[in-house]
Amino acid sequence: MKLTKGIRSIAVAIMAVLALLLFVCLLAGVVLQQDSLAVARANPGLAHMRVPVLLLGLCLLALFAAALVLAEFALGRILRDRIFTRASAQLIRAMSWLFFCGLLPLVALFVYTAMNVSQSITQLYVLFGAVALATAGLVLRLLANLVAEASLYKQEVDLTV
Amino acid sequence: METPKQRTILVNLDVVMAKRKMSLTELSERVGITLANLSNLKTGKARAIRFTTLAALCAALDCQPGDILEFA
Repeated sequence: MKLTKGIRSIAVAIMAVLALLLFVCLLAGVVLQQDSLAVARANPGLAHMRVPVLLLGLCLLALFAAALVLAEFALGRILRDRIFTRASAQLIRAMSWLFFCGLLPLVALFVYTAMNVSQSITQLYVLFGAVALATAGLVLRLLANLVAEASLYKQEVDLTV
Repeated sequence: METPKQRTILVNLDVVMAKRKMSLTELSERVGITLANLSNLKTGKARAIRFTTLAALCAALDCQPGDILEFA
């Protein structure tokens, strides 16, 4: 009962994060547009980087949002007591792939900024982000393998008379 | 070339029940396990059987474990 309540809270939190993400993206688009134009005017040499960096950022956001949606599905399966199935393992594995795929835009961002800006602080953040994504992907992969193994045990127990 | 048939445990619950003229529902009530589980056992879907369940089945059907299970 307590566990179910906790999972419901996490599910609500995920939905809240998704809604917040959407709101922040819209707000950032409105607020930062003028700043972005001002920075581009002040640094004409970097103006061409705005759109590619924005696209890479949007790629990351899309992957993150997709992972959150999958997490919501996984929590739903826990609530319905159907977590220890092969489908759940596939769901978690898909989440881990999303995190690993997030490394691609980060690598592209790293290379792109390295090619255009010398000694940019952004590269340090990109490295931290890459380590965080890789760790999350690995942990989720481990979890997916655990759930897959547990589903076999559960099947065995369910079919023991 | 003929492939060798894999030997396995067979459950002859239906044969013993027929001999005792006992229905699945009656056996389920006597042994205290669900119809679904008993059906799994009868159709060979079950992966394992507990000693306690086997003992209860033997008691209800008045038979030996060897009458219910067969290695073939």
